Amino acid sequence: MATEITTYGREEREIYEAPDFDSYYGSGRAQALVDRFEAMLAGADVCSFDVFDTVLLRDARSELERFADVAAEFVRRAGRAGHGQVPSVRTCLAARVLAASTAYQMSRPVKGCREGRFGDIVRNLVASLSLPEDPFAELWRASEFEIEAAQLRGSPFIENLVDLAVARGKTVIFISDMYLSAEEIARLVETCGMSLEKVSRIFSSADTVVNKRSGLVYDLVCGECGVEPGRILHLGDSLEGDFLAAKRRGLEAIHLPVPKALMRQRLDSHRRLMAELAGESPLPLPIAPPAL
Amino acid sequence: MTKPVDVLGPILLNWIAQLDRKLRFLDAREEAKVLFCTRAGKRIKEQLDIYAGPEPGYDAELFGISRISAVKAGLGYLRNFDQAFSVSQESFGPTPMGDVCAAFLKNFAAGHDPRLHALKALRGEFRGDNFRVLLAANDEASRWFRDYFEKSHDAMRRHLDELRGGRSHVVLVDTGWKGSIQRLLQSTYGDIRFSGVYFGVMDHAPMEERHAVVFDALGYHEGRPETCLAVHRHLIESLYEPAAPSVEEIAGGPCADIAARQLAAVLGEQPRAEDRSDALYLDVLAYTEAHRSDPLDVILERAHAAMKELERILIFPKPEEVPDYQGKPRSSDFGREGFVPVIRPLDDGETPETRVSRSLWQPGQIALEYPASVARDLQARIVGLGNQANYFTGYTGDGGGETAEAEEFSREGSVAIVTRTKDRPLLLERAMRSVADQTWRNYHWVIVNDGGNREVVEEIIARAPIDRRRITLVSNDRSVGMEAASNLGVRAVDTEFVVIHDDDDSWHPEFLSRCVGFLSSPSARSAGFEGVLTRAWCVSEEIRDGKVIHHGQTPFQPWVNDVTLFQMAIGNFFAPISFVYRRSVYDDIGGYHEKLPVLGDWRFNIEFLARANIGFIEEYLSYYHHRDVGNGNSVSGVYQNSVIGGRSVHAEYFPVVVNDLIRDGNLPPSVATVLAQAHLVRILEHRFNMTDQKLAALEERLGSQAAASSPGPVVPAETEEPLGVLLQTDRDHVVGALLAAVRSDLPEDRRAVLEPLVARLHQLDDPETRARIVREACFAIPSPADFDHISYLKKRTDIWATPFNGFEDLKPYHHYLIHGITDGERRPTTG
Repeated sequence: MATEITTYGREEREIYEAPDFDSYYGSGRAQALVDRFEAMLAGADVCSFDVFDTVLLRDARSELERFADVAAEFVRRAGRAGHGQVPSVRTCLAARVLAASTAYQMSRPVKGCREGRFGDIVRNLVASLSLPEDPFAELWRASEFEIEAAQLRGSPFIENLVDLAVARGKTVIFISDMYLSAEEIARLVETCGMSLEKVSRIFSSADTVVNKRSGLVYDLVCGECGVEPGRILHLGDSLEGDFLAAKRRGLEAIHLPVPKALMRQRLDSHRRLMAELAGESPLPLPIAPPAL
Repeated sequence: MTKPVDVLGPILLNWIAQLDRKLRFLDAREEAKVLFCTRAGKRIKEQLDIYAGPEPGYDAELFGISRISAVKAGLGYLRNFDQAFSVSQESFGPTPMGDVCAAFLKNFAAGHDPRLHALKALRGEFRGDNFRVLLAANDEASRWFRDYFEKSHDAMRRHLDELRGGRSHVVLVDTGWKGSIQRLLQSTYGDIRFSGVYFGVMDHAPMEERHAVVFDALGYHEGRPETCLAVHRHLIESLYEPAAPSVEEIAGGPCADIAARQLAAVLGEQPRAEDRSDALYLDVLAYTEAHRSDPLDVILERAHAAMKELERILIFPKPEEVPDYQGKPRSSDFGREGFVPVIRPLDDGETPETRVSRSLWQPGQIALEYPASVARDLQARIVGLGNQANYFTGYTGDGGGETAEAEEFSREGSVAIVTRTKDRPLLLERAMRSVADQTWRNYHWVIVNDGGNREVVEEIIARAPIDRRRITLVSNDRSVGMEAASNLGVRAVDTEFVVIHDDDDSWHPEFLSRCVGFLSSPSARSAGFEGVLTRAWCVSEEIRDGKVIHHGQTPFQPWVNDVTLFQMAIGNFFAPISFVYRRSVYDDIGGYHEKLPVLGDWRFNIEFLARANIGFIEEYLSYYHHRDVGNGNSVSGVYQNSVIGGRSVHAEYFPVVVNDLIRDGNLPPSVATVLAQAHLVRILEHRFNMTDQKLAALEERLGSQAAASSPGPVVPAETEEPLGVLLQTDRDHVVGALLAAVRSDLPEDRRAVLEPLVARLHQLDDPETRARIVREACFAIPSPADFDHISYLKKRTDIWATPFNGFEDLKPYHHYLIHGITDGERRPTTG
């Protein structure tokens, strides 16, 4: 009698345990993932990629720290342009987080999904700072775009997978759960030095409202691309949105987790910022810490 | 003592700042008309005007509205009868119909009007069916009454059209708590889109465009300070309530002058500095004025600090704080007059317990009723912080403190789910879905393919919406048997807990979450619970044409309320699917006994109970599936249950297990004693069963002899339902209805009635027990769709004038269950 034990998810585990993205994707171990991708690609017509932390890799800063950097940049630019008294970085940061929370809470639901949109967030935050929309909304947009782009970089590994898919005659699309529109995401991708020539379309929940987490965006994608769910291969970092929801919808999927060590650095960044922001008492900003 | 404005000022400034942001957002999203609902809207708008200035950036206005006027509009043309009636009934309570009519018409009808007298003379209870009939009737009084609502409906429409000025989106602003006005108006005027922004929301019914600013909770939750206001929401109502009556009539409606006067009174009201609550409101306005330019991060930070203080005050108030925070007496609305005190006077002749139960701020009442040493404990209990379980906190070590942050793959809380399978892809696919749907994600699914086709298993794994890092396949090229397969699976991974999920069973999505929560709780650890069992449904099904056909489900072993070694020694009474246990006990036992082809789980359970306790969760969270219907593969082939298809094997191995256990030197001698006693119990049980069977056979013979001697048409036996016994369809219906009711959001008094009855559902065949269950639980047992009332009533004219003919909760169906069956009535069915 012979017993064979197969443990699944080796590649996922190796990425998760790696100290950072490059330690895995730059190593020879990544070839196993490429092989798996190619094998699965054979049964697909459409190859779909998540954007943030998949196509574009974020660094060790938390979302809160990124917003703090944006707020600082906004204050610096506003001061330099001589637009009068500008609120403090702390106030601007609070406005950004509160406006995002409001935009999400108050957005009009579509099939039970809600999503904030960057344009609405910026308008609302500028108004809540009692600043005129012109020129401050544009000033914020520019600051945030620049900081976002500076803290992102394209993933050569994913670029390679995109090339492979295109070479096999597959349609490549990007799908993102994000407050940025498809157009804004496209600008970011190109600013990070990646060509979009090979990408047929970008779907963003800022435009569709239905998202990956609910699985509903996959139905939309199937309809728009005219393919059966089983003919789409999707890759992304979110276990829930990019893998489980996609599988529940009948897609093929590969989960590319963010390395745990990187998530821990982001969590530390979040906590450090929260501690720095506390005044006489904690500043209860409605922003979730990165989950390990 | 901190001044009340130092606590409430920052909180209410933050609420108004957030409200301003949210209104701006909604208006920017889609141009909207913002309507501040009277009465509270008047003061909310007043404060907002101070904060945001006279030109807030959105079009806002005061809206003369109340719940009763929204109800009147909804009743017109019966456009929104159900909701309007529901809100009315909630407000009026058990009231004679005539009083309700008078309340609706109080501003409209002249006191001497004979039509009003005719309506007031209706002394029957205010119910949906008779109210609808009244509104549809054609006598003069009814027509007049109906006309009033139709005019109200039309006037509200005109008024809304005027206010919104062509915009399709209306945003209502109010203190809260359910958004009844929004719900009513939305259903009555479906072409207008209503959103609502409220200070707080306290309602379990979802509503898409209802937005809470400060809190959204049904009660107080520790760790969420803002929910303290759910304990004393009247504090907020009181502060924003103007000294003016409710606007009960509609502008331009049947009482237009009164509506205008009521609105003017609200608009013109002046907070009275001599009133403690109004004085506090004025202080809040002054605070808003003084701090309106504060940066929003400072506003937020101060509000957060103040909310912590308010939480302490509202949950654990000191006697001297009660007058400042109780607010003014609550004014009645909905056509009624008068006030209800927030804090009951201590000299009202009632007991302290009664006063506390009637108080609108119970912790405040407790502070005045009891000495501080007693009050704190009572206050904690009344808001849910303290209960009988918490009383033992000192003994269980459940002392609170921060719980460590669990990592995604931490061993703590991890569960090995072992699924044994062999060539049953249809069932394995279902088991995979059951695992994938678990809300508790820290598990490892180990599939043991025990000699079956490996490729088929791999295909199912490939389809699984389960994190691949959490899957292990153990594949044997030939079968090693159930217990050895279990051991291979359990030992393939290292987790804190273990559960056997056979490929034919399934779970409720919350199963693991509840079980791990139970086993991880300090109280469970303190009591030595190393395993936990949930209630289970026994599902009857068959496999036909490659599909699983569900035939129904009944509670599995509903008499089980706990797990004792003695009961287990008599026989196994639960399935592995319902049992989660700690791996350390498994290791101590040495795993499942691999030489046993069956009953391995029974032996394991006895050994488990010889070492540790098994807790019990009173929820139906697992499904024990039996292919006990049909024939072919379903019952006897690869899809058979070991307990259905292999009954004789169980009998054969029963003494083997018992004797082995008695001889086992690793077990305490008491286990052998318990097994010996259990043997005697089994002998008695066997004798009783034989006697019962003989009695049943005798009854059947007597019955058939009696039937043979009585005249009447002969009906072929195979098409005839048995008479005098509860039919399976009714048993399923009653059991299903009561269990659904128990799981639903029942009032406590009804739950108290139902719960003891549920434990007796297995005795439904006994006419006396059945009668008791049906009588006491009739409110939870609806008539099945196929039960033909008319035929039954035609047959049983004796119940026409009795409560069984549609009064209260009793129905002809209940009569059939209580009397009809034992009277030998045939069950009438429709269609």
